[in-house]
Amino acid sequence: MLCRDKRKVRCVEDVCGLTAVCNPVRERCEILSNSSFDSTTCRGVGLDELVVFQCRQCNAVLGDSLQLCRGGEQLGAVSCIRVTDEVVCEDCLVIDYEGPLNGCSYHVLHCRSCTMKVGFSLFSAFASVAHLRELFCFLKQNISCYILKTKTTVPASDLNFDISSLQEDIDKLKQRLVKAHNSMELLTQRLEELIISRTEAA
Amino acid sequence: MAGELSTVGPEHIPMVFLCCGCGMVLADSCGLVGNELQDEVALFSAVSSNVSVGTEQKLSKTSTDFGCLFEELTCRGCSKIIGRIYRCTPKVLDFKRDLFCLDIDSIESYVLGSAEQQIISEKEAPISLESRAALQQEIEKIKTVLSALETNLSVTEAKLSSFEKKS
Ligand SMILES: [Zn+2]
Ligand SMILES: [Zn+2]
Repeated sequence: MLCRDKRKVRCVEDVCGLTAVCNPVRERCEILSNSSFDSTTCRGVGLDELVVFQCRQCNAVLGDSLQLCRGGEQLGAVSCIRVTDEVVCEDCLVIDYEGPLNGCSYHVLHCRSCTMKVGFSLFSAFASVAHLRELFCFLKQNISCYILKTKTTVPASDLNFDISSLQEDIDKLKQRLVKAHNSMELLTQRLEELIISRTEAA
Repeated sequence: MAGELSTVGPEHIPMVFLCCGCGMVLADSCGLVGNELQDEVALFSAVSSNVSVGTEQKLSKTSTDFGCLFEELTCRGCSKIIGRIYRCTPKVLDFKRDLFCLDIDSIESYVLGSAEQQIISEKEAPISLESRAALQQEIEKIKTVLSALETNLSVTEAKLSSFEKKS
């Protein structure tokens, strides 16, 4: 279990320097004393949407759903803006000549602890997947997910990570604004007519 | 109006607790009750399905929890003993009864949102679930203001109509 030891050492360095031996969890638990455990949201995200992504082979934590973004589903992937240092993004570029990434070039992502390939990061891509460039895409079949709501670990392929767009909400808002604007115009018009008829009467 | 929508008090810092041995998630902050630094345990009201509760009740003979009956908690991933659940306690240890006590030395933690590796520039980055939530909150605020505006408009409209009738 070399990988676990490595992580421990890093925590010690980060938290209290190399001189003191400390337990990372205890450090964190103290921070938590000012956290509200009852709250049903964190940073506005519902607790039911919180998921931790782990390497399917060695369980190294690769990322979480707070950094999840749209569009990975079409490639059978989970796309994230930020990931943990357990994810190694290889420098060299790979070009596929078959499959869904045919013609695209990308960096392979692998797990630092067990070296298994966990995904890819697109460098050049066709229009249909261009929005995924420079994001981290985890292959669903290679990662597992811990869901905070159900307290279970499931294969990522069991879950759907389609995030609904806010476009519909914004469109509705726009319509209401336009309507309010029109009513305002109409009101102003009526008011002006009223003023004119009053001055004429006087 | 803004005050009503923003969350009051401390925010929930979501985190998961992983088995030191195999990395399986054993518990998360949603079930966390507190921690007992003297005993080096973290207390949970609920743990993940990766934790297995022993079927056999054992009697503690150590000085700190003498006379307690407990069941052992093990990790389903690696079978390591990771803590206890006390079923029968003396008065001073009642706060632990029926809670999952995970040994701090057996768990590691990860705070959600703490990942830092990023390639895409902040300016070009698409909306994440987190930033989407912030946007959604802003949309809700705009909706509230808009509703007030719409009410005002219809009140004004009604007033004007009655005034038009009079004149
Ligand atoms: Zn791995
Ligand atoms: Zn384990």
